[in-house]
Amino acid sequence: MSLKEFLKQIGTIDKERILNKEEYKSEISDMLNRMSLSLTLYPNLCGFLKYLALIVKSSDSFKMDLFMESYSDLIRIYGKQKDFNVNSDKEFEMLNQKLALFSEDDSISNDKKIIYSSDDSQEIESFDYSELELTLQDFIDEMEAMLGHLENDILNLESADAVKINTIFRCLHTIKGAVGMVKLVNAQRLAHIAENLFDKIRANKIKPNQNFEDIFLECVDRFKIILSKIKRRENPVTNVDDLVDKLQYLEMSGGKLPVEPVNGDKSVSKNDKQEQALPDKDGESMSLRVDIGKLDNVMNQMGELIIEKIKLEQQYLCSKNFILELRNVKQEFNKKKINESLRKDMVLGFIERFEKFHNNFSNVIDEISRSTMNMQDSVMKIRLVPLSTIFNRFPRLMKDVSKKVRKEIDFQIMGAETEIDKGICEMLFNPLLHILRNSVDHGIEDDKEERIKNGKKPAGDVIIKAYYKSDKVVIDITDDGAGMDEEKLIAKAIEKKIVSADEAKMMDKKSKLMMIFQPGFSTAKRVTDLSGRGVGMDVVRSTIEKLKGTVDIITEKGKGSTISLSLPLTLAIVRILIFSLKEDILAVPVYNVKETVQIPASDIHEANGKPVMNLRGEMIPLIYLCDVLGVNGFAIGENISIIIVEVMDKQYGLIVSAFVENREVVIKNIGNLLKKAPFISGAAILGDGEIIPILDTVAIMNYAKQQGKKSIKVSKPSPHKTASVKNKKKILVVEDSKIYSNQIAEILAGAGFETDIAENGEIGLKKIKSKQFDLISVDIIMPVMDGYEFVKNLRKNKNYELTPVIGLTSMKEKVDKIKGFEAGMDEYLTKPIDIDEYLRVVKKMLEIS
Amino acid sequence: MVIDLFDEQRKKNLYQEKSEEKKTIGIVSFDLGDEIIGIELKYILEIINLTNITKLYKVPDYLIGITNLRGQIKPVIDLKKFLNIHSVDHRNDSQEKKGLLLNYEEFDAIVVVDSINKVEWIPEEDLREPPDTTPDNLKEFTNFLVYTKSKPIVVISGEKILNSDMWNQYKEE
Repeated sequence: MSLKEFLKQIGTIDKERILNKEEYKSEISDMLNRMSLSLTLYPNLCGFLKYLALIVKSSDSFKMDLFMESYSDLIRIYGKQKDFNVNSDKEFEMLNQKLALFSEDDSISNDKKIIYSSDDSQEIESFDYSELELTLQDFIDEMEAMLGHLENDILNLESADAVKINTIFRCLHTIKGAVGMVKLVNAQRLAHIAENLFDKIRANKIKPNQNFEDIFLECVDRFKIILSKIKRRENPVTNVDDLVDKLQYLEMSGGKLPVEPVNGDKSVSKNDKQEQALPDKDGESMSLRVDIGKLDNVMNQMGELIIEKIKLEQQYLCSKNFILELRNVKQEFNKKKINESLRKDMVLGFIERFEKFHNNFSNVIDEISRSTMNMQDSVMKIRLVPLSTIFNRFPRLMKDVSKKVRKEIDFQIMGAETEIDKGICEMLFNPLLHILRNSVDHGIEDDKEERIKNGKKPAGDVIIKAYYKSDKVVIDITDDGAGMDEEKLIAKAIEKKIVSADEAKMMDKKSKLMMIFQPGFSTAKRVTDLSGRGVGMDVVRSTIEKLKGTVDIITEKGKGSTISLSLPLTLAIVRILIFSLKEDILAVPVYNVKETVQIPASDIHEANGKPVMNLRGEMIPLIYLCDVLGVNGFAIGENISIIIVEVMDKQYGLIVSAFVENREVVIKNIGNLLKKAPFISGAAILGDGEIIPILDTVAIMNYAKQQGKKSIKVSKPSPHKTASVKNKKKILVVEDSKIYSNQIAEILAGAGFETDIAENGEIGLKKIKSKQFDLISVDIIMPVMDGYEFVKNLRKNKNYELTPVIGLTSMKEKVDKIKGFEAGMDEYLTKPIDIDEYLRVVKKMLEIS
Repeated sequence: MVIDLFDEQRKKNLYQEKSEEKKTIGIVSFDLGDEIIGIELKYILEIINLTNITKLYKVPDYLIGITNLRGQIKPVIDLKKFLNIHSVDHRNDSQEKKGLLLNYEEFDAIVVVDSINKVEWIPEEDLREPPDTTPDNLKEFTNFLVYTKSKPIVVISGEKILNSDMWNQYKEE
């Protein structure tokens, strides 16, 4: 507003009406407020107008006099000085001070002195949610967005340019409005003061320094606490006095922090600070801010679809007319008036026209299918949000982390515009934060000198980078620290008894690195504030796997490490493999399917009573899906269709009737009542409305495992089933290595078994004749007579047809397990021997619990 | 047909409520074998002609399967088996099944019944405690008993059906 307009409007105020009419009063008050907002060039005048706006509403006669007097002053100053400028603005300063005295209790402010009611008794004691339920979600969304921006922008405030300062100012203003809307007086006061301070920074009256940044971040934290309280439906009234004091002190001192608390409320504020903004428990919030362009896209495609629908209707009319014509012709034909050649011509004509019609029709169908595909794509994209929504929160947090561990960090974000499903995005925050923390805490070298010595810059680089890779989103977290030492990791894992030393020897580098994702693993020697939060890397991996993603580690000693997460764009649409099982149609998610194979029935082998197949040298256990699901009458044909499923690092083959197709579907749950339907994880609805159940691949594997155990009991009963447990069971250990044979004998003796040792197969065969053993444990590779030969010969002996046999192999040796099972072994165990596992198997086979 | 009747009764009820200020309760009555059973209208969202039911595996026989209701998947329950009512099934499978979509809080399910009779409006004061002679299998689910002109109707509760312990193993993930 220009001054001229202002003067004009000021002149229109009717003094008489103000005294008599209440409505006019508030009208004038609004007008004055509006004016004050548009005359920001003259801060004192602004303040003056704000005072007037407040006083004019009062019914107090004294205040009305005050208003009239001030109004006259205003007119006087303007009348005196035709060319009003910044200098004449100063004249209002005195007037403001006068007015301030009179209106102190009215909680208003001017730019010089902030007089806000700090009386806590005026604050609403309990926050009434029922009144605000409708606006609350908007409030939460807005606050989250604003605090997100703010947190990011306030970082590096010292070097912020005018645009950034303006953005911050606007954010603060919006926050002020938002908390005001939900009637949070304290929070509004804080926002107001912060806004005012920023206004000064904006006008270059104050130069911000590091202290400003710290205090403003504290303010952001306080707002977050309030927000998290609101989300949990708690009383959100929070004390802000300490921050208000700090801000005011900061303003007055021009950037210095108070040495000690300005007033005694410090103890209260400390309590407040301890309650951190808790992470939301429900995870995904139920509303979504959508980029308007995406909605426009959907609308456009909708428009196209409607046009195509009209085209389709036209085609329908065409075909209808066509039929009418054909009927007419039929009647003509019946009249027999038309000769043969004419008939032929007519038929040919019709064929030609029908072909044309068919072409048009198929064009329309093509267009529709293309449009619907696009439509599906656009609708799906609505759910996608840029990763910046969570990435933006990291710079601030990383700053805190680097301060806490006293390491200088150069944190960079790349590809924050990469979009991913909102649900996935929200779930990613904690895992990513944990990885980032680890990168700073464990990745970057503790000693700056060490970095310099290795030719690195003093500040450690930590980079989070997101990008698309085919249909996946990849997020890499890279640090240029010391890198991971897989030997140290594995030593730790052994120490924590996650793996045995012998197992560790067999592992490759990658498996060793992957140890960091094992539960109970933490390499931090000291429990720091950062890593001691109870979220371990195992939780990171399980979260990522829950989101159907994968984790990978790339590391080079001395150069740094990268933890790479690969995630699907969306969870809503999943590719499934549809197959038939007798008459039923079912599906498995393709991300669980390793491959599909068809093998002749003769390639299915029996091992330990369980079907297995040999897939390129690997033995894959097979599961008859019909047995699991209780489908009767499933018959195996010549060729068997098998789906090789891979879940939780394990593989199994699912025997089904036939593969049907592979397609993308929207997965739905099957209602709250049946969240946990047996063996079914969800269902898809196909175009014709038919439901296809989607198998729970993990549940099937677990079930098959248990069944397998049962079937051993049933199918291979021990001949000495009735023997009492008190009778010592006799076990023969056939083993060439003395170390192992003694170890096994010891284990077994400890568990109350009688043992005998044979050095090789031949000696073993002699021994079984002299004594009846209840169980035989046999090494596969032995001199003189190996395990296979031994068992084959053993089974020929009538007394040993059903005696349980455990085959032992060393992990290194790639032995043919199928051959072993065919020879007659019941169970395989690997050396080094896991004592518990060995005893468990022995007891199970002897049916001792 | 039934659905129309249903709506009309609802309107009638609204009118009644306003004019007489006498509270009545709507009850949908249906045949279940030889019994006549009722469910309070407030638990019923819709009457459905069931066409395609996809079966589930390793579930009790009262859980017939799942069906697609306008893009949402709902479980289908054989109410007779659920309540342990024995009777000779006169219908053959080709006949369309009638179902009631029940709802209580976040749970819903379609219960299959033999035939739906009508909606009865019963004044609240006519509701009776179920007598001790109520069969055991029904007792657990019965809310109250009402006497209509023709016959007493055992009114079972949608809440008790959907909150039954029988679902516990399937509800939680």
